[in-house]
Amino acid sequence: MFKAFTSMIKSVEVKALKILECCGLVKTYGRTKAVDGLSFSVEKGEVLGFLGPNGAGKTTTIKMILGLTRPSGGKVLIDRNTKTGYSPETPYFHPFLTGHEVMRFYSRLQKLDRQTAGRQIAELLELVGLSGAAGIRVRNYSKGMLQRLAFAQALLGDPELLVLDEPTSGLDAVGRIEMLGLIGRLKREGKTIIMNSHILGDVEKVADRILIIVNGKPAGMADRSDLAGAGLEEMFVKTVGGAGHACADT
Amino acid sequence: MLALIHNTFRERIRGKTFHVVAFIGMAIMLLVTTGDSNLMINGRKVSGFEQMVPVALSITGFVSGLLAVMVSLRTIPDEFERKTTHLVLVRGIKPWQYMFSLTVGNMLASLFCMLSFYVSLVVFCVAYGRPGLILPTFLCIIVMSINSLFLSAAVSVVSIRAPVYVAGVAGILVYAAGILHGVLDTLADTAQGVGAAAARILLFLTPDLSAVQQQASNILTGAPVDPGPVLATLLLLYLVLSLTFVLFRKEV
Repeated sequence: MFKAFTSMIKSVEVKALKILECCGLVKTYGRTKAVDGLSFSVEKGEVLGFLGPNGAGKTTTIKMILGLTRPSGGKVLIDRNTKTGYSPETPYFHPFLTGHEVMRFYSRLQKLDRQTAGRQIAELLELVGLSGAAGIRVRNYSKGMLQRLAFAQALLGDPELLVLDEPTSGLDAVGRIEMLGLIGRLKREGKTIIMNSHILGDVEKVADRILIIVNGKPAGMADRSDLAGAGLEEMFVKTVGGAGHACADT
Repeated sequence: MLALIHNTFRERIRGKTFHVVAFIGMAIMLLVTTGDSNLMINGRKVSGFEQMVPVALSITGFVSGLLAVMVSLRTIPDEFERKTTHLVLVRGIKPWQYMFSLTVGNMLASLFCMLSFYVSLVVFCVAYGRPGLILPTFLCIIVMSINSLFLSAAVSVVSIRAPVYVAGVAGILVYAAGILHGVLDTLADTAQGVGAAAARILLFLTPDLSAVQQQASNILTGAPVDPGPVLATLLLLYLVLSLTFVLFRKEV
């Protein structure tokens, strides 16, 4: 038996400036605590960088935010009407579809009308540099191309909140620069972005605030201004080093 | 939901397995039913149209049943394994809508396969000089497709929670129990104790697929048709489909 995962995202009045609030999130797998009392909020129009060593609980937290897994404790507070786009760490698409068909499929799931969908698909494929490969089946795409397609489908329907899980993974140097440029552009357009990454430099370039989690617990939160003196790397090493490494692979 | 159904149908139809099994099935049927058959049953040569109808329908039923199981086996486990579930569920699609759509997509692919066998049956009717039966053959195929639809739905529902091989074995067991319904009925009447109880449970849980096949055969031969087994199978199909509303995996 199941309970609709989406129902756990409570429709509540989140304070005007906050688009999302996580209160005391806990996720356990058997005896392992993947996330342990994590609380944070995301304000409208900001880019929140989500950092942590492998197995820190970043992806599990993202899955709880998206309603893909039920928290063992705590709450995710998000307005039910908030349009959310998600780009997964390992992009997974139906391999028999072409890039264009993938976009068409997801636009239909979002109930975008044909005209809007057609226009957005063309624009987004152009934006991520996949216009020329739109007719190729995704089973023949490289990892970088899949990552770009994942990013493009996340932008369908013009979402207010974007959740990007390792958006630069699999991209070459040029691809990474372009992707970070795109994220910066979306930020300037007023999108709220949660960016999960283990590449400190990427997060430092685009994030307004950075949340570091270790062993599923919040280990540090920094504003861009806090990083002016000491760099993110120094802060990260200090934080993670002090908290010790996680052992749970999430 | 239509997008999901369409996508599932498209994926199944594009699969190599589908084409290979369908082609082999059609070839076997055409060879057996339209050639100078040496088919013997109980020492007697089977050659007349009325005698060949049950043989043709049995082959159609067997191959389409096999295809229904094979087509439906991997759809739902694949979605969970390759995590295509994530990008669907984040778009507000409810788990029941998702599972129902995947199951219906599987059923439509099975129906499509059944309709492809219609071509073989048309050739069979023409070869025996009965072109007037082309339309009744279509009705016959529609009735027979109920069996495929049931098998497809049953395998899909089992695969929501169980691994692929369990769903496959379940599909074959359901097919065997459905085709051997008469034998199971006799067994339940004659056996005692646990054996009889097990046979009764199996009889209750599986539709009489052979009776449905028999009614389809009666449409072609002009014998009276009993709607009872067809309606009973449709009722069970409805019950199986309704399970998609309550079953889902804990972790996606």
